[in-house]
Amino acid sequence: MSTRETDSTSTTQNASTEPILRTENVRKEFGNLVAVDGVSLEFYDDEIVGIIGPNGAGKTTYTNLISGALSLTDGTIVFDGDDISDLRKYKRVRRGLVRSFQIPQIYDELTVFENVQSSVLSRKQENNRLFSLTHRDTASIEETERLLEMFNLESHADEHTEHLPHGVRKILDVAMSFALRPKLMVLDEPTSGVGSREKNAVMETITDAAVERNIGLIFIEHDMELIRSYSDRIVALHEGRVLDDDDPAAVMNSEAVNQFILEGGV
Amino acid sequence: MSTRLPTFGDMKAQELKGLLLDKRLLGGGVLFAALALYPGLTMNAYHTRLLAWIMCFAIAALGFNIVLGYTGLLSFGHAAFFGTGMYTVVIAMESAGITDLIVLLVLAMLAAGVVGAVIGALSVKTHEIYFALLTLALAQLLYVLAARDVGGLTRGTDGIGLSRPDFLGIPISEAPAHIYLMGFYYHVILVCLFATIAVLWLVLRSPFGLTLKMIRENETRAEMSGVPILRYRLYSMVLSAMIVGLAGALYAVVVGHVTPEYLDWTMSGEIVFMALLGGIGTFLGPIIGASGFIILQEVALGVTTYWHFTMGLVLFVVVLTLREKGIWGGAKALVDDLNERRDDS
Repeated sequence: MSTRETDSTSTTQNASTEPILRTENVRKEFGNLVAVDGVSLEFYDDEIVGIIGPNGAGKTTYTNLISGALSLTDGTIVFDGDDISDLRKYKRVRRGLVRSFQIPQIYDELTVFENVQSSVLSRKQENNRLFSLTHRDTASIEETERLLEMFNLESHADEHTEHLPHGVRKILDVAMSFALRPKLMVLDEPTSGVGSREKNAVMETITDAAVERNIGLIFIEHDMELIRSYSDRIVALHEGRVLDDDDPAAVMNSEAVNQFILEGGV
Repeated sequence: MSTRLPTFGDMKAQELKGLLLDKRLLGGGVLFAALALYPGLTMNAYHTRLLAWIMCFAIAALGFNIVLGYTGLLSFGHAAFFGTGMYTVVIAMESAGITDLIVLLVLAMLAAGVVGAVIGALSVKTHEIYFALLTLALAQLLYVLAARDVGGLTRGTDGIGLSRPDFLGIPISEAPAHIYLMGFYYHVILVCLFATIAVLWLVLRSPFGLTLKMIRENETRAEMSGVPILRYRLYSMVLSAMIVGLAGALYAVVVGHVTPEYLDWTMSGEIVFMALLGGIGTFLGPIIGASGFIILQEVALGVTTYWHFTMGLVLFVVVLTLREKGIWGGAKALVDDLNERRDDS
């Protein structure tokens, strides 16, 4: 990704500063099964990190631990300088740790506009306002309009989301996450279910927005081509452990990664 | 422009004019006037009583729909709030000697709100059928307490008769029963109904209302947008309970006798019935549902002893053909459809 490469100086600079997210020896057991087995990683707010690994490597479990959907068996998660290991899901979101889902999670019986506006209002923690009309709330309306423009969703603004094509639903899901003004976004297969021709467009939209807003990205992806083109760094997981954590070329050429992930088929 | 404050401040004169000419608002005004004049013009005590009855349940159904239609939770325990409203009025009058209607109504709403907070706190973690059963069980608990006269306040299944409350120090309760109802109390209910409509219309279009819809539509996303969903479900239960409690309090004076039956699950069922009949997916549906229910009940009672069967049949047909749109949503769809066809030809 060209934008990233020209930014490489700032990347090295920031690499010495505090990571936005740090997991220390994070572990998750389901009964006898160890899904995540002591993962220690650091993520920065100016990089895009791809997570790869075969099925059952613990990728989704690891992101669920980060978002708080699952509780830790052991280990610590530090976000933006604070220990958030025991923090409730919605509180992590309010701090700027936002995730999106493999299957778009949107509000089907609301319009595209309302979907995004609801996220804007939630970020401003204005859910409590009883006696004002949302369709007259200029501040959130203007912000919603800017977001719709940014993600090319203006033409769908007044449509109910249930009839939207899958690719648009994906973009809407991402737009709603951006409305939360995250510091770090965790994307679980952002292009799953999207037609192969659209995949790059979806990734471009997401990464461009992330760069523009200075948001760190972590994404799980099965498509190695996408991983290679859009990641600044790749983390390879295998059986709940970190197999490799390096720049894309190094990871792709690593013997272990080739043996366990690339050849095994993903 | 700062818009953190409620937006009435920066409403332009033109917008205000538009609002006044709004079809719905005009329709509401005409309906209010017609209803307000009805008892005086017809002097029909039976109709007035029936209308008062309908309006009480319309308030209850509107309040219930906050939880079902907007937050997406099916409660089978709303009799608890209705009954609490009724018992609060009668106990406050009997035991505490409070006779002012306004005070009684406020007390009833607060008491119902507290019951709503307790039942809500115990049940909002559950979903769907579990939520329905838990609310049902908790409400049934209140029924048993009232029926067994635990605490000696409710006089068991005999219930308590109540006298008529006064209003702002005016000893209006001394007027004969039919004058009290037709000249005063009916209008109190009418004002309460329209106030409920106005407040809910606003609240459900506010960021708070949108938050409830977010929870109904997709809990996962709502939580991942930073919304503490359990807290908002609880808020919606409390708000709903307070409005249903108001309905119960108003109704208590109309029937003049409070028994544990109003806390029973069949009462909860009737409120669910009304909301479904009118349409939970619409704002005004519950009012139509309450009217339909009570008129149907009156008619069926006069014609057959099998009125429960008749009611069941009607609900069956309505739900099967119109689903969550109910009568009101179905009628709206029909009008839209006819307009479209007219435009086409």
